[in-house]
Amino acid sequence: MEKILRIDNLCKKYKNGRGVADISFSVEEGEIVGLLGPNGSGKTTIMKTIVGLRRYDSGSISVFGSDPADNSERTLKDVGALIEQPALYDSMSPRRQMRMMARFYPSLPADAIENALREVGLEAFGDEKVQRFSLGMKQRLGIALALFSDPKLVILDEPGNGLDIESSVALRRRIVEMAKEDGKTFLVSSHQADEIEKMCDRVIIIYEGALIEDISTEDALRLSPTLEDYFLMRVREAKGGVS
Amino acid sequence: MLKAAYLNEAEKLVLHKKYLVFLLLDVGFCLFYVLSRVLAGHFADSTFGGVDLFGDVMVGGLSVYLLFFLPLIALLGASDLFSSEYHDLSLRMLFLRPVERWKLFFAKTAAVFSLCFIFLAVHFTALLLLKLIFSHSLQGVLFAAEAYFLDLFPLLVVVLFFGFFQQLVRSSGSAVALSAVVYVIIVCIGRYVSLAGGLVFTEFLSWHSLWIGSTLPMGALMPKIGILLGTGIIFYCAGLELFDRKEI
Repeated sequence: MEKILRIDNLCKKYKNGRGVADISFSVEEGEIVGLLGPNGSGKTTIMKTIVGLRRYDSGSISVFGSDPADNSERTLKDVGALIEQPALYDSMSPRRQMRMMARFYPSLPADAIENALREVGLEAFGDEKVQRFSLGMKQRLGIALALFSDPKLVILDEPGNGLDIESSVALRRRIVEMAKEDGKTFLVSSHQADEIEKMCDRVIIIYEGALIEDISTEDALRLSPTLEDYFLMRVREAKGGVS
Repeated sequence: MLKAAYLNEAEKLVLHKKYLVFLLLDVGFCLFYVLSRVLAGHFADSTFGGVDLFGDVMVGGLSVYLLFFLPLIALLGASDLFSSEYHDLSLRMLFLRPVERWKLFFAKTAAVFSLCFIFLAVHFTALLLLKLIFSHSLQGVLFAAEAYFLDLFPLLVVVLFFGFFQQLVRSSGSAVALSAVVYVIIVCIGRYVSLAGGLVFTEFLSWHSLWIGSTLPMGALMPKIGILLGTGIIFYCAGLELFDRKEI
């Protein structure tokens, strides 16, 4: 399998001392990899450096063979991302902002926007201003904006935020479907172990800015009844406690 | 990608209704200005009427328009496309697209300059129509067209100036306030500090006055061209550097 994403010894520290250090992992084509860790552990920082939203201090990042910080035009062509809360133009309708973003993808099929809106259940609200949307609707639009360009690598930071149960289940199913049928690669972050357990092939545990585990979900579940138990066990070990 | 980025930025500005309001205010001001001249003509003697009265109507108020009104539009445009998007994080949507940051910066600056150009063009057209209606003469129109064209150059530096200052502060309101205060200070320095008079870009906003009807030799104009060009390059490079380093 081709390596879509490769991170070596990534280090990014903020002025307050937080950040991530010595992060190394890779993601292969068609994989669904989950970044699991508590709030503030560094998951979002890793994702932001991958897509070039943040500069890193040392290490290297390779997405489709090049660093997005050096050549965003070539690298981000095949990357779709939703980082933190969706970045949206509140005074515009979903259709308008998707049409605007579609200008950056000249070979996009004509029906890509409508398909994406239908996929996230926002087709009927496509001409309404986003400022009237609920948190869940904004999240769904953020997901549509990440997926409508048919990217090969999709990076989703806490995609379940604000979604109701039905939408969360549908999203998880769709992610698995896209990975299996279309060969898309996913890097998904969450602080909820069950969300990762239900859709990811592999889980990377991030704790206090360090990578403490990179294991297949199957192996983790062989060692513990649930991914949540496995996560707690590994965190206790990392803290120096009893496993 | 540059074209796509420019179209997006221009579309965003067009969607802001406030610019339409400002355009209407601009046309209203032109009407008021011309009518005040017509009224003045009625109360003056015959030598003050007719064609003479409208001889310089198209460039008469241009220096004030260029010094205050268009910089206000440039400031609002730069604020909408830079600091506001940084403040509400919508800039992230652009940074996640396959487009280089210098292209985004260039597109945003070009869109703000286009907005100022539209205002200048509408101002020119409104005054031209009013002049035709009231004086039935095209005398001085060619001179005015040249003046408006020449004044686009310092206007570009004003746009680059606001583009740079919008990168300095994260908060949209603070960025606008800072830009406005610094601009007013520069205008005052240019006006009241004799040593700095020829060194600040705001003193060149009526650029046409140096070229049309001027007896200044080319040798005397070269340093002024150099100052304007140098200021523009500094603001563009500094603004781009800060924009390129933005973490969001």
